[in-house]
Amino acid sequence: MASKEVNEVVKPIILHDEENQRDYTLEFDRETVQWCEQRGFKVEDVGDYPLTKVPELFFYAFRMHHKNVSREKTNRILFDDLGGMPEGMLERLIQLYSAPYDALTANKDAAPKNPKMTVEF
Amino acid sequence: MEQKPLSYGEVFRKLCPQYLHYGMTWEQYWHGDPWMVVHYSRAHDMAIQQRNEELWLQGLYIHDAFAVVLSNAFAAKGSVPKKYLERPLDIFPKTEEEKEAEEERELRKMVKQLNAWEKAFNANSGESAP
Repeated sequence: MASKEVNEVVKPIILHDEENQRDYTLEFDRETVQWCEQRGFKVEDVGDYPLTKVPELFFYAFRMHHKNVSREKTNRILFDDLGGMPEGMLERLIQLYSAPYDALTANKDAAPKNPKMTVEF
Repeated sequence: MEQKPLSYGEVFRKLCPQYLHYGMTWEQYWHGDPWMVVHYSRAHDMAIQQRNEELWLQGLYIHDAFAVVLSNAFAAKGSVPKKYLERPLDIFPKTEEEKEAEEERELRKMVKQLNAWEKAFNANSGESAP
């Protein structure tokens, strides 16, 4: 089971496309998370409906840095190039999706009284 | 009635003015590194703490000024009038050299005082120095 410290910063995912020599940085900012929610996306649904929600989350992760990448392209990267979601990537994507919110709430505990306290996911 | 928890977007919109007040730009809040808010919040706390200390220090100076005025107003006739601080209080820790210089000054002051006492004692007891 993964665990992370309350104020630990989650690093973005970087995908390297060998064919086009292009890097994709997958990350979420507040505007992107809000944009996802406006389209009816709920991160809680990822566990309940993985077949539809995982590719959707993967597509949304491109929006912050690569707005022009289409859903077809992200599906192709996910299913053809990567052969599905690599291990640990979904958990990281969810952490990245939650980071804009976590940063606001972790803020209250910016200086934790007990630095050994960790949160388990 | 149980309240529906706020969505992430609602929380972001609710807290946006607070972080704009802390000095973040719209761009930084909505499109910047999500963790930037932590640093802005800490910086804000530090600014509040600094302001608090400034006000406290100001109170201390005012207290001192009043003490000097009242002390002089009610002092016995002929007593040496008290003076307000000649320079601001040192708020930074002293360097080793400054500490040594201060110790030296204190030592000289003490020797001078002791010499004055000795002189006064000798004068009172009628003895003359060799």
